[in-house]
Amino acid sequence: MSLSKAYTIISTLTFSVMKGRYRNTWAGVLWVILNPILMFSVHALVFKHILKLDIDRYYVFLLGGLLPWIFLSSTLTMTVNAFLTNREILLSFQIHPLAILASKVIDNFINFILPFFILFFVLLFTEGFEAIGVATLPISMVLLLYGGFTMSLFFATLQVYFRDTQFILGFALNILFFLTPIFYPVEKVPLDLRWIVDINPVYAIIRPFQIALYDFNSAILLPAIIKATIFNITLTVITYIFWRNKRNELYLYM
Amino acid sequence: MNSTSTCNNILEIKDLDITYKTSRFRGGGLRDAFVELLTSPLKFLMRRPHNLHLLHDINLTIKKGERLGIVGVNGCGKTSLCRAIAGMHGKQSSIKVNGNIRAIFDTTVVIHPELSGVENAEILVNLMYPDLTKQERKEIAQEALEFSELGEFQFSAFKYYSKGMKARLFLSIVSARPCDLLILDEVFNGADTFFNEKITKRITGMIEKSAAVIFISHSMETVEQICNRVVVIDENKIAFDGKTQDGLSFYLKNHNLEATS
Repeated sequence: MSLSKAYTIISTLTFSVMKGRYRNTWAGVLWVILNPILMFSVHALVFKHILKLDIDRYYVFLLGGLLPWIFLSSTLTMTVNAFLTNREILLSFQIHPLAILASKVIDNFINFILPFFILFFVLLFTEGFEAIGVATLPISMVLLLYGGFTMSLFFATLQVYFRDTQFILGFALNILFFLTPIFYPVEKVPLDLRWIVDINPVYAIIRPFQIALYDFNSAILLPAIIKATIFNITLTVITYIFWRNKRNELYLYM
Repeated sequence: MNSTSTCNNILEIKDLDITYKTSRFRGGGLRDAFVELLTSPLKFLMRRPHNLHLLHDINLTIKKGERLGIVGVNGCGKTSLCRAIAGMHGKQSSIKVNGNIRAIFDTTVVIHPELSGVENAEILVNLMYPDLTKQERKEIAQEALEFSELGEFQFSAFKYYSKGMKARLFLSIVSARPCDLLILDEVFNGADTFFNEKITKRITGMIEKSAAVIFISHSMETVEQICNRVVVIDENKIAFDGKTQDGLSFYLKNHNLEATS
């Protein structure tokens, strides 16, 4: 498929999902923006003001970790059934399954960008950011978007064959939320348990984001970007092999 | 004929096998797999997936001007063969298509139920004709909406459409442009008698303009009207390939049925 064809198909599907969601209701738009902001506020309230975590510039720290986490977890939750809920379309005419998945991931990325920049501008005036760190954000965003897409493809394909994948994924995300240093700093994790963080692919993908916004230092950002890239390549290889092996039977199982 | 292909053979299939590896845990889940891995690890590791042989040793060439009807009982692999030809199962080295394909397997598909008929038409046109310019796609959508005679209904949400109304719009869009290989799988279902006559005329026109056609139907009468060649699929392979009338007689005789047309 040529790039222009892929662009037409994916953009059409993305805008149709967005148009459908916001049809006749402003509540849909508001909910998409308010949901992550509300999550952000609750986390800030609980960990900063109730549990009194002693972390400098905690709101900025949360923005760099929690918001990308919300994007990844909501993308995986939303897309795990993407092939099954769109089975009618997939079985009716020639449309690449990846186009459907890509449109959903991009739609969710746009939903992430809006509240992210609202919080970003609020914190820009109240807390401030390192300019060079902010300039590296596009790299972190590309890594995040790509990682989200690859993981979505893996789980959406698995869901076609094993219908309880969505429940196991939900359970795994709940556990992973506590094991990923997004609302507490990685330094709080004891050294003998640090390996849990080191092998966590979600954290590897989120980490450049966190560094760019919170504790920017080019000496740690570059290794974090390399690590996130390596994790993304590994996920791509695993997902590609899985997809290639299962693609033929996809229509049978749908 | 408006074919863009310069090749005489529109489709060449050599020794195609379609075999599905059915999962060990079909109908079960990851939890079942996990429990078996823990309780009987040896059994889990030794068990091989079951192979479901759908089509075996398929050799087929379709030339320009041929309108091929595929007949066979339910589950014999007609649709799977067409999906493989349309590239929906990924690239197959045993299938060579010279030209562009349009394949339709269901006419009542809904892209987005909350959106209107007009919006769904625009989306469908974009998905089916992504290689055309924006203006051309707009014209196709407008023309298809006029042809489908949905009137004021075209502005209502698609979720309120009946099966027939969806079929009207979908068929109008599908039949807007000819292609090199057109695959139609049971497309004349859903629309009402009056519209069926109108759309049959339009699709027949499109079939004539397309370089080659694969047509699947359980209606012997329609196959006889449209096709100039028939392939009968039986027991995973091509049991007959030849003239339409002979093919239909073979199929009916094979299943101990008398020809009704």
